Amino acid sequence: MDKGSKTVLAVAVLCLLVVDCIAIYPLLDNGSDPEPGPYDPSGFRDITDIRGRVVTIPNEIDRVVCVAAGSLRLMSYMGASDLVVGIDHSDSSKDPRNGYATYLLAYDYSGVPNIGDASNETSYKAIIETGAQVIIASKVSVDDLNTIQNMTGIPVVAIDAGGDVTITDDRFRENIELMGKVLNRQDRAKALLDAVDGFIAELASYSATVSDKAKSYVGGLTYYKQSGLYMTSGNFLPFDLAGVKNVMPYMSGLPYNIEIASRLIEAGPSYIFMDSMTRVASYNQYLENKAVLDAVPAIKEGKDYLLFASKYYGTNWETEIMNAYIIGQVVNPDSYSYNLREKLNAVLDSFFPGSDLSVKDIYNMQGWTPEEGWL
Amino acid sequence: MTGNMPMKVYRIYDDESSEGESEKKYREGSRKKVRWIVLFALLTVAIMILTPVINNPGYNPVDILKAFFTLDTTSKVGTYVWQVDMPIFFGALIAGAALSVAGAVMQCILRNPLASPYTLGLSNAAAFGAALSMMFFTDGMVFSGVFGDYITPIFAFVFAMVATLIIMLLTKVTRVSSETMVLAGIAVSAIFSAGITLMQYIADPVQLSSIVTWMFGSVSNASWYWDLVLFNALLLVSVYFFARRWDMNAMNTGNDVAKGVGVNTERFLMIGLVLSAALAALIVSRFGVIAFVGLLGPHMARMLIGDDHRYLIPMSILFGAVIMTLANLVATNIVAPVGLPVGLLTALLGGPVFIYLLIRRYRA
Repeated sequence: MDKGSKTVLAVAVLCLLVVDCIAIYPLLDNGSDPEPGPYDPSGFRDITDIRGRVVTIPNEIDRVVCVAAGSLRLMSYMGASDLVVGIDHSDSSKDPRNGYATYLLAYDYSGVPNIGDASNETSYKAIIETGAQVIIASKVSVDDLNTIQNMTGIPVVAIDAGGDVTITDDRFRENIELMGKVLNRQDRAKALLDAVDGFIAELASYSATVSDKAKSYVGGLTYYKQSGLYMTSGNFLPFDLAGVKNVMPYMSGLPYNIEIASRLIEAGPSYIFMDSMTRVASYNQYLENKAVLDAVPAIKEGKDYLLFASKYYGTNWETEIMNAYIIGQVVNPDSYSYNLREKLNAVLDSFFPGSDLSVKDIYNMQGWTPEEGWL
Repeated sequence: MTGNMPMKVYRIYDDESSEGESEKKYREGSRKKVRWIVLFALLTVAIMILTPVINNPGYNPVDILKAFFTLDTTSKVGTYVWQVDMPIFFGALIAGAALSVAGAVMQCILRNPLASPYTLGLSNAAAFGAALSMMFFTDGMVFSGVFGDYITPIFAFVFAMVATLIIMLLTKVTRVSSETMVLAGIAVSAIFSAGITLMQYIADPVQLSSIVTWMFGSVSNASWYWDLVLFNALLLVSVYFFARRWDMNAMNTGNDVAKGVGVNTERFLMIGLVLSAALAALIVSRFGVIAFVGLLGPHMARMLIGDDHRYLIPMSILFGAVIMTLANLVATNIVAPVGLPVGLLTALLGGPVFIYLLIRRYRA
């Protein structure tokens, strides 16, 4: 080895020592598995989150930050909007589509600090500034969850806001029960789940009396910013609850795009239901192929209707039930006989305790009613 | 080893005055290169000191610098500096340095200026592995706890190494030249890219969001633990390549010449490719796809100090570190509190900068 190589090796070893020492110093203080934060007036407890992580959180929680899809929605369902001290960029944005996230209409989060997206230095510090005791996050990767926890020193509890989680799915129940445990609101969690069970049982009782299930199509569903007339699903829960037959085949739990008008024409639905959030895009697609689409029985007979937005930054689980009530009464009015507005308000009351949001408010803010057709 | 023996200098020129001139010119050139290296080392230190000051606009710069120099981790500002800013700064520094030195080595041993971890398909292969893990192995029920933190990096690393293996096998089987390895890399990259598209198509929105975010490439998930692991890997691999700097200089002049001076080119090609690919794969598996740094770093270094690997290797390391730490500083603060992924910024800026460099070089 020549003199130059020796020098470089010596410098390299010196660098190794210096950097290792600098790196180890804070590691000793903070560690990769942080101790519970300083907000500990009542002691701590361990809970297991939806990703199987054991997280140590304070016994009493009164300051929560919500990160990623579905987190703020679940906090709202728990009637815990007053505990929220930080929300992420998407929930705090002024995007007009936020008006289709029912929880943002039910509670006023406009004064709650925007903590960014929990994936950079500025955002980590914004979370720390809130003084939160716990972070609720729906990130999929355990690594991401642990990174937020390590960077902020605040425990992160994972929930599951997967696009295929429906209100009848066990994962929805697990989310609600977990939130009940974290917030010490088990009674509220039970009340919500009982209410959901009640709605499902009621709809099932109506469905049992339907003998001839009408062929129906749902369009305008959203899937990661794609939408339009041809975005549909073969697994649309409100159809199952409303006693109608979905004309589209089951592909997966997620929406998919049938791409061309001919597939809709072949399916020949007697009823078409369209997601209200994307109704303009769907209408424009209809106009492009109006001549052929007018042959679809549902369109020819004017049986086209709007539904509440099924997804916005995660699934609007409450609208799965509300849409089932609408579809049931539209398609099978004899079996699904009730005062629709009262039913819809009852669902809102069950999901958003303490909120005075009514279905009339939603229609006014979103600019549509079930009585109006889509076209 | 020369010990204290006076070094014997052999002259190959007849003209003594011209020989002195040439030697003087050579020494001056060397000193100039060393000066560039020192300048970039100082620039890196300056960015390190500036980073916490810029990242914490709400705090007094004096308090920030005090916390920085006293290694204070107890005050709030100290926590921000040493718990949040510095692990990420060092993550960026190490990622840039590693990708850049890997690019420099690949360009030399494959004798192709377009060779880099990105163009050889390692990044796409790693992204495919990461997407696979996010789709099927992060439900936390089976792998939580012990492996929770490591599933995605392990998958990403394994697939990046699989891509390297495929390229090497293709080259062995088809007996194509090392220059055409880059073409094999592009083919492998396209296959994995198609796999990623398929994953994205079948992913649910939350999984898709995670996959896309990972693919943007970000050092915001850096931690002291991972910085330490990656730094040690960077150091070991860099020292190995620096020790082989004369072999690489010989390979620059062609395989035949290199063989003529005793370099086992086939063996060095394989070892060099595996080591540089492993280093890049480690970085990509931790931080996601970071485009162009492996290409830009060595090219910009080469424009300043030439092809001599005695200087090119340290300069590539420093250039990569400066590019990444500066890019991360901009990405963090440009639309705060929402941060841009640094990989997105390097991809956005890297392309035009590279085209500019190509045009400048062509004109020269």
